Amino acid sequence: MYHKLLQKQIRKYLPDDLVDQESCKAFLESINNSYESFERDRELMEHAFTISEKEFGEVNDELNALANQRLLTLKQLNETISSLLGSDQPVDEVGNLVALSEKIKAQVNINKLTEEELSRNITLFKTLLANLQSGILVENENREILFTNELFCSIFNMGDDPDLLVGKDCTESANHCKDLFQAPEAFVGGINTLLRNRKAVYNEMVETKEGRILERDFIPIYVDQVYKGHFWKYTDVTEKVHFQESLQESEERNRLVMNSSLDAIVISDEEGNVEYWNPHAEKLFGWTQEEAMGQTMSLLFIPEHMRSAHDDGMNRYLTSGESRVLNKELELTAVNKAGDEFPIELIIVTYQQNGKHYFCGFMKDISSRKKSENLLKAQEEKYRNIITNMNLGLLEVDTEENILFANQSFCEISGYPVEELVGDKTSLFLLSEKEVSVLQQKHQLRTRGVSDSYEIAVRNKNGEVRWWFISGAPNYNDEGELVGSIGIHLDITKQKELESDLAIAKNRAEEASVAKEAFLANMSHEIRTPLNAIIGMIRELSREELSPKQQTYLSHTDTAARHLLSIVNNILDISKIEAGELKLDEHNFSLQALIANISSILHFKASKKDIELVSRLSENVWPAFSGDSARIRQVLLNLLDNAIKFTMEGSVHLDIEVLGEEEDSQLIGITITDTGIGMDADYLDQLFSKFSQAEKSTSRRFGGTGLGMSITKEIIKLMGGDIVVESTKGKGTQFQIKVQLSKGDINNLSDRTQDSEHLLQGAHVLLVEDNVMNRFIANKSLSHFGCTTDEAENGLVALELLKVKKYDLILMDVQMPKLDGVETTKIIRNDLKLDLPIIAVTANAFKKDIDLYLSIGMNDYVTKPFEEKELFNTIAKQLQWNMSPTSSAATIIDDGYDLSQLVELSRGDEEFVKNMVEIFLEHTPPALDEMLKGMADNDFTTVAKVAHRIKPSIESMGISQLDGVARDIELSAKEEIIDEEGIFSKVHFLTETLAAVLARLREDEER
Amino acid sequence: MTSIKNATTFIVDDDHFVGMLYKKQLSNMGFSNLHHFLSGVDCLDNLHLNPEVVLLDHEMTEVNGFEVLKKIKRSNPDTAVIMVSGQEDMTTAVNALKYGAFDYIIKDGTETIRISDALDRLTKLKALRPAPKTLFQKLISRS
Repeated sequence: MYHKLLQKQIRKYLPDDLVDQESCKAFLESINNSYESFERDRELMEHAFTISEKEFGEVNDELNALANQRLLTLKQLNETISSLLGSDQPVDEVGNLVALSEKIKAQVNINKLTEEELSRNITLFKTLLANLQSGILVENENREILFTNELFCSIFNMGDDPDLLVGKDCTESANHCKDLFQAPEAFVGGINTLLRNRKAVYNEMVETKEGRILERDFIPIYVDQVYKGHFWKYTDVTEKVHFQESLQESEERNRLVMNSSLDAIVISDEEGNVEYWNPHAEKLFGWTQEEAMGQTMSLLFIPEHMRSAHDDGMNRYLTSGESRVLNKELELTAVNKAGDEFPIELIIVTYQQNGKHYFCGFMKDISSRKKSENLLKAQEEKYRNIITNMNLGLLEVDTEENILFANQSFCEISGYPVEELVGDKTSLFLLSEKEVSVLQQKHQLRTRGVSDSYEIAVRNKNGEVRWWFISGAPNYNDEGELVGSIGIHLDITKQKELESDLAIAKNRAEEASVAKEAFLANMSHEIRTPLNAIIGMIRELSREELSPKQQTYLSHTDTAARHLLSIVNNILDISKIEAGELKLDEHNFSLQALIANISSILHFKASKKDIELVSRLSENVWPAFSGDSARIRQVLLNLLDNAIKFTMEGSVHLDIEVLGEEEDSQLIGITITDTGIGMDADYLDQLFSKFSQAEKSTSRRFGGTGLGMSITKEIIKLMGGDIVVESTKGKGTQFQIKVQLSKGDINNLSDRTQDSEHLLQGAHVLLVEDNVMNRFIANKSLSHFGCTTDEAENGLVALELLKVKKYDLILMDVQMPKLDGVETTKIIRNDLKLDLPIIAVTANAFKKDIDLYLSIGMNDYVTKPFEEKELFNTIAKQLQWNMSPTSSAATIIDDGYDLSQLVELSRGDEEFVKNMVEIFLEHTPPALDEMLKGMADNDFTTVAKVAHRIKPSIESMGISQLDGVARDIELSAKEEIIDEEGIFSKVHFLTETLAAVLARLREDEER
Repeated sequence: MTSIKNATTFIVDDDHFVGMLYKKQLSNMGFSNLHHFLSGVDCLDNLHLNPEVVLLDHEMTEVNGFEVLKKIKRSNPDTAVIMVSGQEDMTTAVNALKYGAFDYIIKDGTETIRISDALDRLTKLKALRPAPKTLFQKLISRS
């Protein structure tokens, strides 16, 4: 049987046919088995459950007990949580553990969040500190490192990992690292001070050895007012500091630049108030920086009439940004503190700084520039006016000589209207080929940039010849290229005509002058020759024995003749002056001697009129001057002679003083004062002009040509001096001469007057003169000097004489028949080869004649009529030149001797000395005779021998004045060409001296 | 040794004054046997006196100094001749020495000193060698 449940199932669902089918029976069997096993399992399970129910009851009781216990605990827990959360938290009395746990969980969450945030913050903070561009060190109160960063480590050389340092003690760290710093001890000290004070200190600077600059902050950490440690921060600010320094430098530089600017620099704000005022602005406007700062510019330096414009301009710029003045060079005026207005050059720039506008003005005083600009403008105007209005023809041409412009004056000068001129060529005016070449030449000059002036003959429109004076200059354009030339033309036709007239007149005048000169020369010769004879004759006559009456007549004749001579001389001087022939000689002379000489000459004359002649010479006057003493003498003689002449009573004073002293010259003042008749003021004016005398009557009363003063003036003028005269009619006259005289050498006085009359004694003179009378006079004079004279009436005779006889000197007349003086001299010098001195005797006193005589070999000249003294001096001078210096000493014969040599040699043997003197006395005279005989026979060998022989005895006798003389004679006598003159004078000196010594020796011997 | 001072010494100068001067000078030097001749001829005429030293003027009127020198030397080559002359030229001096003069002294005022110098030197020289025999002595010694 199947299980009841299966049966129910089969009945319900399985068709009956199938229940009996075998196959289905098996199947139903297996299902039945399953049902049955299931039934067994259920019974087993029910049993088990009953057991479990029993067990559950037991457990439940247990759990209830536990639950109560739990509730109690929960209550306690609640209480605890409430206390834990605080009173502010609404305590919902939950007996619910879940809620409680929720609450706790929430609380824990909150805590966890807080903690997380904290941790994140710390990380953030640490990262921040670690990455900060400063070295950071945080220490606790025990100076243990809480935190540091890499930068700190690197600054203090403390390794790479800052985390490793945490917890380290830093008490000694300052000492360890102090050597990193510039000032180690100060660094340590600083740190210690900071730690001691525990006060925050910021921005301290320390410098490392390497030159880095560190900025240090020290911040102590207080928590609830309890010191918990501190914080160090080191920041490398080297770059910043350097940057700051350079910034400061640049600022300073800018300031200096602005201060030293030659422009006034003023900066103002938008309101126009001054923010900056440089020193030059102080100078320019007169306001100091203190005064100017903050003031408005209008009040400081903007002229009143420009203030509104200025304000408007500024406002316009500030509102619209438009400006007509910014960044431009402006020329305006400004006023300074004193209120003076002056032109300035101004540049205004503007800039913005911190959102504000500033105006900066650069100003420069341009008064002087303005002034010169104005001047230039005025000048331009002036020249334009000149060119327009001048009466000079102005012509502008191009390089091809085409006329570009001609002014009105030029049209007038040329006769052409402007229209005809412009475009035409300058050749329009040319006369001939000559002018063409001139113009071409000028054109060449212009192309080379040369300007010059020239005269040229041209033809005007009417065909008339005109002379133009043209001043031409090259004309350049702006690039400096030559574009032609400009010429200024002046018609000088009239002047040219005058010029040629003048040239003709001048020629005539010159011819007339030459004629006059020739006339004067002839006249002077014609007058002088007979005058020479007259004066000479008078001189000779006066040497005769005469009755007193004859003497008087003769002296009057002499005076008259000399006066005539002085007139002739004056006329000659004047004609020389006019011909420019008067030349000053230059020789050394003594003014003192000259004055003495003049005084001595005039003294006689003055004393005859009972007038006192006083000369006074300053001691400072240089002993010798170099100049023409003869002319000075002439001037002084003339003035003094006049003074004496015009003085009736009283005195004539000659004062010479030194007015100025130079190294090589003296300014000499010569004053001649008389107490004479004086002169009118009218006459004084023409005193120095020719042919004038005080009054017509004076001329008659006192004589004279009136030429003297004129000559005087000319001579002084020639000497570079000046003469002034003061005179009061009836009181007297004073002449003052100032002349600069060159200092001379006292040792070289050329006019040393040698009054040794016998100087010419024995000189053999040849006198060549055709005029019998003159020959007679000259011969008389010469024999008076002690000369022996041969006469020759012309050159031919003279030459014959010269061939057979020897002369010391020739006096040669120039104008002679047959062979004149000039020709004769030429023959003497060139053919006869004689070099004896020849003195020309001539009436031709003109310089050109004298020059001729000297050039052909004459040595000197004497003008006829000659003064005896002059002739003497001239001859003496010539002979002196030919004599040896020793001869001049012969005039003083020294008869000294000295026996000391012999006495010494004698060693007390008086007899020896005596013998020697005897021998000398005995042997010398024959030796001298022999020598003189030798001289007479021209036997110079003998002369030499004797000289040689007597030399030792002269030396031994101590005749020192003859030292070397005998030897000289010997040597001269042995020479091939014998200087007879020289030997003669030496032998003369020797024999004279020895004769004197011998005489003295004899005298002494007798004694 | 015979001193030169005792030697026969001639002074030949045609100038009496100068001759006397030299004579005095030599005598001052200690020369005792002095003879003054006024000409060359005089000197030559007296050569038999056998002078050891001759002070000879070069320029003399009658016979030239050189001639005298040559003759003295021919007579006795050992005679010391001191030529005194006013000639300053070299040829004269050289010739004098060539013809056997012991010295040539120029008259220039200082000659006295130089003469005494020359004589001193001569003294020394003579002292070095014995006085040579004269021709006469030679003849005697040979016989």
